[in-house]
Amino acid sequence: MHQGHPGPGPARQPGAGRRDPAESSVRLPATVGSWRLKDQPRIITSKTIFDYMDGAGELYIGYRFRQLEVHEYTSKGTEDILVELYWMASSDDAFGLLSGDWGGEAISLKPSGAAAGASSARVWPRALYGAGLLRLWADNLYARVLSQTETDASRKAVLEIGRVIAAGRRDSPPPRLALMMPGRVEPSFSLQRDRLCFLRSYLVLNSVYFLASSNILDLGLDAEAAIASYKPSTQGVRKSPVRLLVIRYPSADAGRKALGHFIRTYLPEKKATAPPVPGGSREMLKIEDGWVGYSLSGSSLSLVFECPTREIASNFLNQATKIAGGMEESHE
Amino acid sequence: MSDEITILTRRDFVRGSVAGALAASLPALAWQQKRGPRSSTVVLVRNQKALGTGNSVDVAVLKQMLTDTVTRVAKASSEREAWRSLFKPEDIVGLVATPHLNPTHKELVEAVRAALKEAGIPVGNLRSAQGGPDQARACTSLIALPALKAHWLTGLGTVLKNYITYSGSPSSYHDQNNAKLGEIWNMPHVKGKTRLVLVDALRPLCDKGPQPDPRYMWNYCGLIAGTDPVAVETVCLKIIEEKRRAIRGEPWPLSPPPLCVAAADLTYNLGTSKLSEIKIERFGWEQDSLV
Repeated sequence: MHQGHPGPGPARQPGAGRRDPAESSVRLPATVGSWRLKDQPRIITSKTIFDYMDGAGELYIGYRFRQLEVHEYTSKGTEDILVELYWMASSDDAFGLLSGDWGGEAISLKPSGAAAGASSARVWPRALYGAGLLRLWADNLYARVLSQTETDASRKAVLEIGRVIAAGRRDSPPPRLALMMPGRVEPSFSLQRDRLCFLRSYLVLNSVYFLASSNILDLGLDAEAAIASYKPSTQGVRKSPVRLLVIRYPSADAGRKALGHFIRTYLPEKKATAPPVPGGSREMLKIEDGWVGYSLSGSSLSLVFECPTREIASNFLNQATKIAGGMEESHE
Repeated sequence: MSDEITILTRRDFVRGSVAGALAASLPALAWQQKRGPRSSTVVLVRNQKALGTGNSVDVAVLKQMLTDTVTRVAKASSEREAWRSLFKPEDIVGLVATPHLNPTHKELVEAVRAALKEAGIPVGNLRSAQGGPDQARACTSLIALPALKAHWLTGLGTVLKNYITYSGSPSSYHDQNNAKLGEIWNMPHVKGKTRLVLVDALRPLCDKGPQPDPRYMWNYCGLIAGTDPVAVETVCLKIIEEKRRAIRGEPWPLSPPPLCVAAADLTYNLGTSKLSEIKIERFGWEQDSLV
């Protein structure tokens, strides 16, 4: 059953995240420990991001990326500290970047200590640290602060820089789609909170759960999606987790087309009997790695993979339909 | 060459039909009928003293590792003989290192350059050849010198991906087209020029590459080399996969799967991607070799 669900959150403010970049700027300290900030940051745009990071830029432009500021701290005799500030169009996009990997030590960057946030099942950390790298989500900003060689001093400096970056920035809520993913599905499947990813791009989807070598779900910047793993609580037997993917398209028509694309490519045996363009569609099939199911409701498409039984696939789709209903009701 | 790579889905991997799908692509058909049994040798040399405090490179240790590596690859009795069996003094030798984002250690590039000079290749004939197609055109021979890393777009971003800029249109090999990376090695200005594949596995990255993430980097302290780029890549892949398994304590498959490795074998006939066809010659530090 659906448990611990906070329900639809507050509606997004129209235009949230569309601030003047100057208004959003971060004033980094001139010195941190023995490190000194170099004078000018590099500004990287979506046109130049591949010059800066060939092969990695797709991750950022797979979300609604505005620009990247690259700052460097130098210190004699120690590794530099690299500060990358990724300004995104919305808080959801910044959250999405962090959600690709929830590994690391949850860090509180704000004085209250509340931001570490591991206490609630539905609050994700806002900052994660591991082996010299701090990653954080602060409103529409995603940041990486990196010291390639970790020392006590570098850790202290990296966290101090992180605190400055996060200071004064809103603690925006996670994407509503992420919040609405069911916490539990009958009979015994629990959400793995550290295996939930918010995304818009099939490349990001494939980095979390490989589905196909091309964009068979028509994902893109105008869509939003969450994929999560659900682990069975069966004792003693190691079983594969079930994956639930919920996608919200910009229109019902886009959802129908995407479902058609998915069926043609992923479930070709279903092609002959697929309904042409139904108002809603729901189906479950047994394939090589278990039961797969899909459900289209308005502009929301839900897919479940690797279910051990048809009944469990049905339970997941029932839960997903509630999400879709909630999203449709709160359509902005 | 075909412009199309078959769309592969998760189901192809579960069925074990990926090889069939890749082999069914058009350019593969002609040569598949001719192919006999294959074997390749990959040399793995490790020394735990290669990296010191702060992961700084011990140049003397690295130089010895390079000597051990190249003499085994060339099956030669001396380093000079080894290099001279791979390159002639009249060759224009391009060193194709990974320039950024977990770059090839500059100490390794310098050690290779020094060894070539020592072997009698004129300094003027040695080039840093990473870049566009003209860089490859200007060389008569190449050394692929990538650093070992996982790659979030291609699964693995080491040997095959190292020549992506030689295509002249790197973006054509991104996204779903990354399985075609092997095609670049068959382009006229590249084909047949690679005499040595030498992978910097001193401090590899097993997830989230190419951007550095120290959580997934470790001091493997190795060099991996051979003349078959696919065999070398296959050994690299095995090391990355085993490291991921060790970190999680259970299989942690690369996602997306590195289609380019099998495709380089089955579609582009660049070498073998079957571990059973690869002889690994190990030398030096054995602990946690992962392969």
